[in-house]
Parts: sequence; structure tokens; C-alpha cells
Amino acid sequence: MNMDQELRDALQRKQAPPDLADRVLARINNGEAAPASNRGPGSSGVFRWLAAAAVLAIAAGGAETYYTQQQQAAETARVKQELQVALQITNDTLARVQSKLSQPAESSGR
Amino acid sequence: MKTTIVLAVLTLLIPVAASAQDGKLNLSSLDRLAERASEKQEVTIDESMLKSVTPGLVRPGPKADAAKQVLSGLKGVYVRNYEFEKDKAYSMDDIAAIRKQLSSAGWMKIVSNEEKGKGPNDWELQEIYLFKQQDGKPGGLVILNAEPGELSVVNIVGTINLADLDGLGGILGIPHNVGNSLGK
Repeated sequence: MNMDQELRDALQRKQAPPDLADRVLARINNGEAAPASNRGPGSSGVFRWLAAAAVLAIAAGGAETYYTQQQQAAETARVKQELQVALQITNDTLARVQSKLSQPAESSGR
Repeated sequence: MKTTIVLAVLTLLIPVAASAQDGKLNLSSLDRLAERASEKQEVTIDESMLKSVTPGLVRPGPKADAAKQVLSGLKGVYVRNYEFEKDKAYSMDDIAAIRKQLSSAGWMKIVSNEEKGKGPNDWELQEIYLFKQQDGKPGGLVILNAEPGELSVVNIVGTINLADLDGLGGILGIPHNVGNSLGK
């Protein structure tokens, strides 16, 4: 049997025994608690809340990391663009200065 | 009383002196010109912005190391570029505050071209200044181009000179010949 089939079988919904409700009620009425060894990890309310909190924390952490990375990428792109503009203006201004300096004084028309 | 006044004045001057020591100009006097400009480009990139983005700014390539080295020395890039529809939009007096800062200690004028014609709007000015720190290392540069219809002020702060600008050429979409014309 392959793993897919095993998983499908394990996760398949199973019908509860018809007398389950009666047995549970009878135990509650008798003040009995289920043996600790029979408790699954998800059967306890505390465990469920802890698991949910852990999932939420991981999801929130992941979302924050993603958001921070996106912000960082956007900031990098913005600064890069501004740097390009700044250095382009620098280049243009230097070219202008050089052009003026290379002009003979008499040809400047002043 | 006199001593107190002198001390108070000196205390007020300390921030001005401190800002002048790192090659950074106070460009706030140009704000009023920005209001009159028909077109303007203003770039303000301080050291913290540069440091936070430098790792992702340069992609691997043959000139990446040179570009990273230049960027690591930068402490700020400040550019003001204004174009005016009317020639009388500003005068030399409007840039006097900038030039006054450039006359303080540490600044050295390496290029100057000033022309004055007969008419009131017949003038222009091109200047390049380098700032030297107390240890003799470069601390920044200023490129100034002023014409009746246009004004450009470039202030690059950090251990950089004109030739270093070429190290950024071709890396960030910047022309290959930045700084070549006068820096070499």
C-alpha cells in the first residue's frame, strides 16, 4: 500500500459507534474520567488552544517576515531609483560644467 | 554679560560648524526657489537610507566590488534641480547662502566659471567644490550650475571624489562616464 492510500485510510471519516453518546453520558453521570493514556493530544482543550496559538504565532511571524521583506525590497527599489536620478543629474551637471569650461571665453557671447 | 552673550552665540553656532565638518550643506534656503520652479527634481538620501539598502543595491558583476566600495563611503546624496519658466525667477542672491557655506573651512573650490553679461539676466555660474576632512581625506563634493532658467546643486557627502563616481557607472543604470569628464 502506498503512502497516499495509507493517508487516505487514516484520514477517512469514520462513523461513531451508535452507543457512543450513551456511554459518554453514563461515564459523566458516574463521575468517571477517561484514562490519561486514552487521551489524544487534541482531546484536551488546553492542548487545542496551545496548538491554535502556536499556529497563529507561526502564521503571524511568517506574515511579519514577509511584510518586512516586501517593505525592504520596496525601500531598496525606491532608494535605487532616487540614486539613479541623483547620479544622472550629477552627470548632466558635470557635462554642463565641462562644456562651459571648454568653450573659449570669446565664443560664449558674453 | 558680554561673556554670556558670546557664549550663547558660540553655542548656537556649534551645530552649524558641526554640519559643515561632514561635507553636508544646508539646502533649506533653496526651498523658496522650489516653489517658483516649473520643474523640479529633489533627491534626499541620508546615510541610514544608504546603509539599509546597499546590500541589495549592487548586483554581482565585474564592477560590483568597485560600486560597493564607493557606496560604502557614501554618507548622503542631496540633489536639487530646478527649472524656471521665467529668467527672472531667481538671482545670484538666492544662492548666496549656499555659496557662503562653501566658503567655510574644509571646502576647496576646484572649478569655477562665472560669467556676467550686460543684461540683468545675462549671467551664469559653474562651480565644483571638494570638502577635505581634518585628516585630509575627502568628505564630500558639491557641483553647482546656475543659469537664469535653471539651477542644479549636487551635494554628495562621504569619502568620495569625482573619479570615484565612475565606479558607479553602469551598475545602477547610471551612465558609464559619470565623473569621467572632470574627475580624471
